[in-house]
Amino acid sequence: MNTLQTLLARLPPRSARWMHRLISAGFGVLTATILHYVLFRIALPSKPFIYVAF
Amino acid sequence: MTPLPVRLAPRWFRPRSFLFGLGAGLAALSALGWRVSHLDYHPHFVRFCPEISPEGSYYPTIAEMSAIVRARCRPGQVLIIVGGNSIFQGVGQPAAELWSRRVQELLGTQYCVVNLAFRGAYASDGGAVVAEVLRNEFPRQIYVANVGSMNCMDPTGSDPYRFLFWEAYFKGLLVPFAPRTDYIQRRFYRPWTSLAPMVDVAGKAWLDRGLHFDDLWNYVAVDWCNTVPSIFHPDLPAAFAPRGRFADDERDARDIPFEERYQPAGFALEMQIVRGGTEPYYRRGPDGRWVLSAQTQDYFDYMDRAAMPEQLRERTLIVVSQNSPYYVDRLTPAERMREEVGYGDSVTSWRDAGYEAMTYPAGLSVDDYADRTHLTVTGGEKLAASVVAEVRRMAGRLGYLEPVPARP
Repeated sequence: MNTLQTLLARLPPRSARWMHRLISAGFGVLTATILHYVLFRIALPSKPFIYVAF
Repeated sequence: MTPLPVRLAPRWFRPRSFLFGLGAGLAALSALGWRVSHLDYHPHFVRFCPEISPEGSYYPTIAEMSAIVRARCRPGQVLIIVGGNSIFQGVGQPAAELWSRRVQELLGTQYCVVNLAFRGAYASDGGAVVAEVLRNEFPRQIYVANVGSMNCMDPTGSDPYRFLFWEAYFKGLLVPFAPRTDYIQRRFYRPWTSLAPMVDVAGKAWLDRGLHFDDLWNYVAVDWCNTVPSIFHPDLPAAFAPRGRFADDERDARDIPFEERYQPAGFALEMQIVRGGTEPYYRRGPDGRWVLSAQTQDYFDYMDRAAMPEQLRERTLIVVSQNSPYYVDRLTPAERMREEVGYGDSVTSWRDAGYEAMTYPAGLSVDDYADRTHLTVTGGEKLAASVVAEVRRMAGRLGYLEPVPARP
């Protein structure tokens, strides 16, 4: 995180602003992917098939 | 002295951009899920082998199963959906010699046969749900499924496969049918006991209707990387291998030694199962004949009528499966008579409820069975021939063999 902050601090202010937005949006997309996958996993039946069937 | 403000997020973090990314990401994933829900990503599909079925912790979706059907059935063909349990799924028969493939060969190109049976499933599970969902898209359609003697049809399917029924039900894909809705209300909407699970399944279906997460991540598991552990491939690297890579390696039961198929150690238990198929439902009348209890008859009639709307029942063929003669021949004469009466009464009961029904063709031998209940390739061939005759008769009765009217 510190390395990222240092790198961003070296950029011109205008470019840094865009990079901040881009990286934040990127984290948003990553969170969306995790959320989407978690919804899939928690929606799966909690008991393994064998315990439901027999 | 004022305390320094605590920063929970790094300096570069922009909440509005993050929320934009979150929203755009969810929208893109949902769109991708919707897109793959229309793709057939099982190009070599023959049946639901363990790697792509709930036994292997893989839960196909209605859209996925519908896409399998769409990719195979051309307009103008009569669609034959095979449902039921492991007998119709073809346990004991390698994929290349599966009985439903034989049905396809015998019926010819005018028909398209798709096997959607699952192990341990009821006739009202997966295949029946997909058949109902596709009722308008494929109006020339026959659903063929097997049941055991004295088995009725639960309107919502069996526990392991009920997820398919709920998906279709809560996504509004089924025919509105009052008897089935009443059954669901009475069985599943009892306050304090089962309301929470219903909120769970309904909420999941509601979320998935918009977000398509089941379709997307199933596609990823089949084509790219499996992310849900399966008991069939617990070790790395196979645990993460795409499920589509595993071949259907069902053994040919004819290659299994007889003592393994009909294990002496399991003989008593198998006999108990055979007897249990009819014993609880029958009593002997004063004339010595076996009589089905009125309570059982009423229960079966209620369940079978509530399972499917009438217009779907008339195009459904129920095949009442029989036990291997290896066991049936070892019953006492009275038990054997009860077994025979049970098959006959089952067929009558299904017909009375508005279904087409039949039982196995006469003359199946011990070698035609892989074990007490499953069929070998030779048994499957005999079954296929008799199912084909019935399907042809039904197709004629339902007007499916008349030419498709040209579109104006």
